[in-house]
Amino acid sequence: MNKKIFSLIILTLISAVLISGCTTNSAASASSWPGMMLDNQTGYLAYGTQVYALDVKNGSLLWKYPAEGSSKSQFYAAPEVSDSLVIVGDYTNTLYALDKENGFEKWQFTDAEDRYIASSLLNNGIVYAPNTDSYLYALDDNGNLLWRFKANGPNWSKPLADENHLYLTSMDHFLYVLNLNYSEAELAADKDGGKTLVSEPVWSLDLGTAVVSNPVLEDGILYVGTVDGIVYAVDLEKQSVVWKYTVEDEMASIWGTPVLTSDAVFFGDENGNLYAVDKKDGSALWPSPFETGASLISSGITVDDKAVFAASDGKIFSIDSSKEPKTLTTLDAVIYSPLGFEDGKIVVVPASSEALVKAIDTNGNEVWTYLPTK
Amino acid sequence: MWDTIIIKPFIAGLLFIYDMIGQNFGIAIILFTVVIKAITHPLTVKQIKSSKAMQDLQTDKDWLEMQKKYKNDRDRLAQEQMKLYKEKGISPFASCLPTLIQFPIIIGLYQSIIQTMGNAPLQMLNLIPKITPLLSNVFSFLPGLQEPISLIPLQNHFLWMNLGQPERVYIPGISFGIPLLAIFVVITSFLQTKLMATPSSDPQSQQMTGMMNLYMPILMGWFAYSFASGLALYFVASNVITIIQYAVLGKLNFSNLKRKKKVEVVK
Repeated sequence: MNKKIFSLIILTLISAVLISGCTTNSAASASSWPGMMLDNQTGYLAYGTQVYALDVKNGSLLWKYPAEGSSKSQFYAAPEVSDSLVIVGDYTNTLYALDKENGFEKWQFTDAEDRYIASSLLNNGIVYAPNTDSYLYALDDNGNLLWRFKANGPNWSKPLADENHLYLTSMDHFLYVLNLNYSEAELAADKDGGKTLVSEPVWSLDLGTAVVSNPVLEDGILYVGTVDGIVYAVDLEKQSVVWKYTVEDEMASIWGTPVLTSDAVFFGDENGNLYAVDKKDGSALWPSPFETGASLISSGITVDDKAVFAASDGKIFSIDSSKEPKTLTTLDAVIYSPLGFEDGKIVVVPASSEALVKAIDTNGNEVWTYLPTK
Repeated sequence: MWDTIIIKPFIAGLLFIYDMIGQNFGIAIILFTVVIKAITHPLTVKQIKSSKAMQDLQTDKDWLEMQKKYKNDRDRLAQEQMKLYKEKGISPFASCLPTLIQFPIIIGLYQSIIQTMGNAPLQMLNLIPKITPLLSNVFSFLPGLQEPISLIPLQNHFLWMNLGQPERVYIPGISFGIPLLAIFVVITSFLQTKLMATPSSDPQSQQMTGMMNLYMPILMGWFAYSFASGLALYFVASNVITIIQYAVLGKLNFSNLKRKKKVEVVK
C-alpha cells in the first residue's frame, strides 16, 4: 500500500474518531447519569445497559435485567416500584415492567416515540410515565394505555400525586395539574380515533423557563427549581405562587430536588452555591449562599432534620439552617445522581467510578461498595 | 479556550437564528450552515485556486522533466521541486492551509449543533452554562427576541424528523424504518466528492480520488444513520451548499460522473 493511500485511510479514521467524539447522541454513548430508587431495603439502579436490584444491607446483587446488557437499550431514569413491579423506561421508547422479586420482564409499553429521561410514578395501580415525546402516559398495571396528556415540550421530571391530583412539571415551562384518572367521557379522540387524550389540564402555571428537576410536595405546597435558577413554592389549593427565590448568579440552573427540613428549604445550583430559605416566605436564611466549590446537580436528602448534599466533585456534606456544614466524606468520583437514604445508610451512585454504588453511614464511614461483575 | 472561541459563539449564532426565524431548529441548522459557508468562502476560493495551480504544475514541462531526471534521487527531486515552487510563486501548503483552518470550524459546528439540541441531561448540563448573561444582554438589544434561556428546550421537530434522534421513515407493510436522511447524505456526499474531484493523470491520485469517492459517502452515511438527525441534516445542507458553491465558481466537473469516458481520457 503506498504512503498516500495509507495517509488517506489514517486521515479518514481520525475524522471518524473526531466526529464520533463530538456526538453524544444515540443509545451508543452515555448521555446521562445513573438513577436509583430505594424501597424496603432494596436499591433499584438504572445505569447503562442494565437495571440492578441490590440489597441495601450489604450491597449484594439480587438480580439484574437484562441478564446480558445490549447497547440497544440504555437505562438512566430511576426505576419506580410498587408492591410487585419495578417500572423503568429506556433511552429508546420502551417502558418495562419487571417482577420486583426476580427482575423477570412482565410487560413492555412501546407507544411512546422518544426516550424516558424522567422516572415514572406508580400511584394506586396506575403508572404515570412522562416521556420526552411531550406526552405523559397513564397505564394500568398490565401496561395498557388508559389515557395520555400532551405537554408542549419534553418531560424530564417525575410527576407527583396527592389524594386528588397529579402534578407534572415540564420542559415546556409549565406546571400541569391533572386528575388522577379520567373516565372515557372526559377524554377526547386521539390520533388513532380511540378516546385516550386529555385535552385540558385542570389548571396550569407558567414557571417561565424549563424544569429539568423533580419537584417535591409537602403540606399542599409544591417546591420546584427551574433552569434559570428560580425556586418556586406553589400553593396547589390556591393555584398560586407563594414565593419564589432567584439564585445569586444569573442563570445558574437548578437540577436537584429542593430538600425540606422542618423550617427550611435547601437547594443547590449548578455553580455550586447552596441556599437555605425560609419555608414559609422564601426569605434567605443566610446572608450569602454556602459555596461548595463544585456544581450541585445531585438531589439532596434529609437525615435527622439536616440536609445532606453531594457536590459533583465527590464531597458529601450535611448542613442545617445554622450554616455549619460538616463534611461526611469525599469520594474520588463525580456525583450527579440523587442521594438516597435507607436502613440508616446514605446511598451514593457515582457517575465516574469503578464502584457503581456506595453506602456510607451518617458519619461518612463506608459501609459497602458495589462493584459490577463483568 | 475551545468553548470560548468556537462553541459559545456558534451556539449563540444558532440560538440567534432559531429565535429570529420563529423557533424552527431545522431551518436554523440550514441557515447557520449557509452563514458559516459564506464566512469561510474566501478560504474555499483560495483553496481551489491553490489546488488548480498545483494541478497545472504537474503538467508543466519543467516539472515533468524534473521527475524523469531525478526519479532515483528523492532528496534532489525534493530540492528541485521546492525551487520550481519558488520560481512559479506557488506555495505547496497553500491548498492545505484553508482546509486546516476550516477543520476546527467544521468540528465546532458539529459540537454546537449536538450541544444546542440538548436532548439528554449531560448535553443540557453542558449547554446551559454557555447561554451566559452576556448572550442574554445581546439578545435584549434586539426587539422581538426571547431570552435565550427561555428558548430551552428547542423545538426539535423538523418536517418528519425528530432532530434529536436518528431518523427513520416507517412505511406500512415494511417492518423496519428506512433511513431516508442517511440515504440523502450518502447521495449528496457521493455527488460532492465526485463533482469536486479534479481530473488527474497521476494513477496514484486517481486511486486516492476513487477511494475518497467510495469511503467518504459510506462514512458520512454511517454517521447519519447512527447519530441524531440534526447532524444528518447538517451533512445534507453542507453537501448541497458546497456543491452550489463550486457550481457558482464554475468548478464542478460533471465529466467525473461519466466513468467510462474518464478512463479513456486518462489513457
